[in-house]
Amino acid sequence: MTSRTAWLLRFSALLVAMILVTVALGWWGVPIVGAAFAALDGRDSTPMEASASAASGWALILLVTALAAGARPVGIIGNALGIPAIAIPLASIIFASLLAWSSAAVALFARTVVVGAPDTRAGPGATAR
Amino acid sequence: MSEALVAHDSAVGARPTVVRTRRRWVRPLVGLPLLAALVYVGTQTLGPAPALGPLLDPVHGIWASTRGAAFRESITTSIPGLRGEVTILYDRRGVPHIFAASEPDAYRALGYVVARDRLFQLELQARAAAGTLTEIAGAGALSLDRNMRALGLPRAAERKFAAVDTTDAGARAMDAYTAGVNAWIDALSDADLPIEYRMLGARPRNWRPIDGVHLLNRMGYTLAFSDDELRGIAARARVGRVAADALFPFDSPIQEPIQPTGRPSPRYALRRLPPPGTPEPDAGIVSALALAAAPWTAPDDGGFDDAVGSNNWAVAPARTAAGHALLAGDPHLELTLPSIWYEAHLVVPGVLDVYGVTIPGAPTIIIGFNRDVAWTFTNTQADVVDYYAETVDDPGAPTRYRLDGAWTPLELRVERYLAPDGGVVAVDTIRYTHRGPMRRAGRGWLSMRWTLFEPSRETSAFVDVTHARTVAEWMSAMATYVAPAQNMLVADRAGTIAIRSTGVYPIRPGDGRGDVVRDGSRSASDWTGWWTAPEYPQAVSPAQGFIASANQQPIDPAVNPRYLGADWFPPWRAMRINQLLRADSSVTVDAMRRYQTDPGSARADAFVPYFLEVAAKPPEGSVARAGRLLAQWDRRYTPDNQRAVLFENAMRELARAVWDELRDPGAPARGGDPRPSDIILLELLEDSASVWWDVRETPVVERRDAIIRASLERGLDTTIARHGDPDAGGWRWSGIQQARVRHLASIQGFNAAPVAVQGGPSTLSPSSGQGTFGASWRMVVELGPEVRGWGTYPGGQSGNPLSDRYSDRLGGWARGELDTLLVPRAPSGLAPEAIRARVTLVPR
Repeated sequence: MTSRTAWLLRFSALLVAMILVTVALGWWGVPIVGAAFAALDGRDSTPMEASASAASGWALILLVTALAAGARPVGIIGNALGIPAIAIPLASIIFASLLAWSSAAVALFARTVVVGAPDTRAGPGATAR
Repeated sequence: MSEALVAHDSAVGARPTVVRTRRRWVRPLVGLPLLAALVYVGTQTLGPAPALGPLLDPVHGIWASTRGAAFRESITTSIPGLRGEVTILYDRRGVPHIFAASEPDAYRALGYVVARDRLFQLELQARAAAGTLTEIAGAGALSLDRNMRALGLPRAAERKFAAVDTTDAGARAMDAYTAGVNAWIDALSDADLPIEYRMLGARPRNWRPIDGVHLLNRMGYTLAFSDDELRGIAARARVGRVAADALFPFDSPIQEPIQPTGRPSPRYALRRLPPPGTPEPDAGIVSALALAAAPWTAPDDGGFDDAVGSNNWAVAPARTAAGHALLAGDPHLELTLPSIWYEAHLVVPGVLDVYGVTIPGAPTIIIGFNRDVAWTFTNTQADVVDYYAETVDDPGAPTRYRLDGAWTPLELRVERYLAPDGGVVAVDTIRYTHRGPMRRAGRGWLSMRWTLFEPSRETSAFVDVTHARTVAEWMSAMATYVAPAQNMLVADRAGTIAIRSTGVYPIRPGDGRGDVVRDGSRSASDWTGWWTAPEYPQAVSPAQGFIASANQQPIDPAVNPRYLGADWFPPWRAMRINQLLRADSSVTVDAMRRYQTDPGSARADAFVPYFLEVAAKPPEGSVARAGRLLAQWDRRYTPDNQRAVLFENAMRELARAVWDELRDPGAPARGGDPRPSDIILLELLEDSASVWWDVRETPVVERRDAIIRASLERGLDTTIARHGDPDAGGWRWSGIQQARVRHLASIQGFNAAPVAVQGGPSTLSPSSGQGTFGASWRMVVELGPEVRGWGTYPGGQSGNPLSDRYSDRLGGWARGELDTLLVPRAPSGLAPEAIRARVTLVPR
């Protein structure tokens, strides 16, 4: 298995986890998964990966919702909140992304304190262990 | 250190290590406060903004409402308390047809479907009446809550509820309905949580039977809180009592009563207005206090009376084309989304089969029909609120009031207004005499008595009448109805048509008038009893072959001069519908429908000739041009009409010029000014030399024709300034007067776009001012061998703004169209293609 494939698998698993935990627990699940991922994995890149997977997961859910409901509700909700329609999905994605990144960053630091320095291997370009 | 890290370090030198080390410390330094901040905004409300977490969550947050908007085609669910299976078929118009084996099951199912479609409305309306809006909306709603509690409505509801006979039909229906509502709430999914709750960051509260009482109180507040007598009192502060009584008379100068007199009508009793007299300064204080509690504020560009008005009429078989009784009704109220009404059909074989509209929160049909009888209401406008000047022990914080020479303790009720988090927003102490709540009025105190405070069993009456087989049974079931007083119109399959202005009317001491502030220190000032039902204005199958009501004075004082009220709407609509019905001895269902949005105007017929007469007199000038333009008008408020706007602007100028005595010298006209109705203006037009024609600010003494002339000229100038040249297209009525249907909680994005309607001030479908009032439900029923009904309302069955059923009826309503109402006797009676969705409720 190449490192890129492994990264893709890991990212996909994380993305699925983000979706499932959002369905099961709601928005609280995102920082929980982000933190757990960073604490268990320990690599330096985990905050960015958690952030990207949370953003992608929520974007996918929103996309499915929009496909099912059409664009009209998005416009109505935007109107009701007094903001451009696109602002709400964007805010949702950014919110998830920041939640995952910050929780992973904090968890990674905690792991450093407890276990030692993080593994600096990055994403797809990193050498396999 | 791992191999990879060593390789990486050796390849790029020492700098990345420094970067990593810095990142290692920077990340938590940024991450921790960021996480804390995100958790904070995710869980806490910030001012009016809800917590962001539950709002933005793509599965459980605001987006879930899009899933709830979809109409699921088939659901089977169990709910507690059900005795048997209930089948609910939604037709293509989203109307639930409820087929149950018992009445309690039918009411339980009604609660369930209403909660499913209108949950936020249910809670908001009940809270508005209970004065607990702050608990869901925060301190911004405090003034609304304070008003409700100061009026004593929550206390009245509690007392009524405590006195309810639990074996009563209404109480049992409400219990079952409550269980149905709560069955829906208890099983509420994220997708079904109304979007408004998400925006408020709130969750629905369980429904309680007392909420139904609050709701009926709210209707009473909307319909029976009269302020016209207060405008009359305010006028006394300007022009004295004699003139004010003439400007705000309790008998209409034109009589087209609900109860036919058997004589030609309308009957004109126009009088000469007495000149302005010496002001009564104290009257202003009294009226200012009481007007502050009024539910509606008159638009500043016209009279409230022109914008609102319910109608109903029935035609006996002898005057209909098909030989069956016909009934039509269109109650006019504030237009909201979702609509005040919810349409439903309840069937319990052999026991109940009723179709119509209910108010979310009421356990039965309020306006509608069964297989034998149809009914509808207009507001009676009777005077059922009185004020008393009280003598108190301490004007700053009274604890006792004087009654028949002795000090009597006031009931002090501490009202706490709570925030959504349970904190106390404010605390008030409301004082009660034996009559009702007491409010400060200048240096004194006024108490209020209102029929809405009396014990009553409206819910039971509404439940009972759904079983009536004849007009007589229906009237008998409604005989104990208390408030708000309504002109109840009924027709049956036997061809009987009838109307009765039903509700309790107080008997007052002395001259019996209620449009005065009485001395509260004497128990002799109190109400001494109630009218009996046979004394109410009423008619059963009158010889003329039809009956009509349009909020006009119900009974001609020449027939019965007894004081019933003073707040009658001008009789323009009554005159118009009577004119149409007299002229048509073969009325069809379609004619009944057309009459509901008839563009003709008795008001325009009365006033236009005066303008034309003056415009035709020399000297010529812009008034002649205005006269020519006005003469082109057919006096109809059709959407494409291009002259109605000129008439309206001229009328507005005329009223402003004439009633200058009723406002401060030099002050502009305002909505809160006491402004007599146009009927009084018509009386004045008959007296060309009256001192009322003189405008006080000018050095010359004006006469009638000069004021009419100037009003028409100014009307033309205003119209051109606002809408351009007469034939440039800007004068089109549809572009000037539109209906505006707003979201119940005034959430801008959930309002409907303004729609053009047929009708203007005081037409049968009146539209005036901001266009925020209109026909809240239109219904026509033919009582033939098989009852047939047609109806619509401005909105849709769903309260979810994201649903295609939220405002789907608005277009047809604006065009004056009615939908055919399906009334299957059994589930099999509804064709498969007519069914949009099915819900099966089974016992848990």
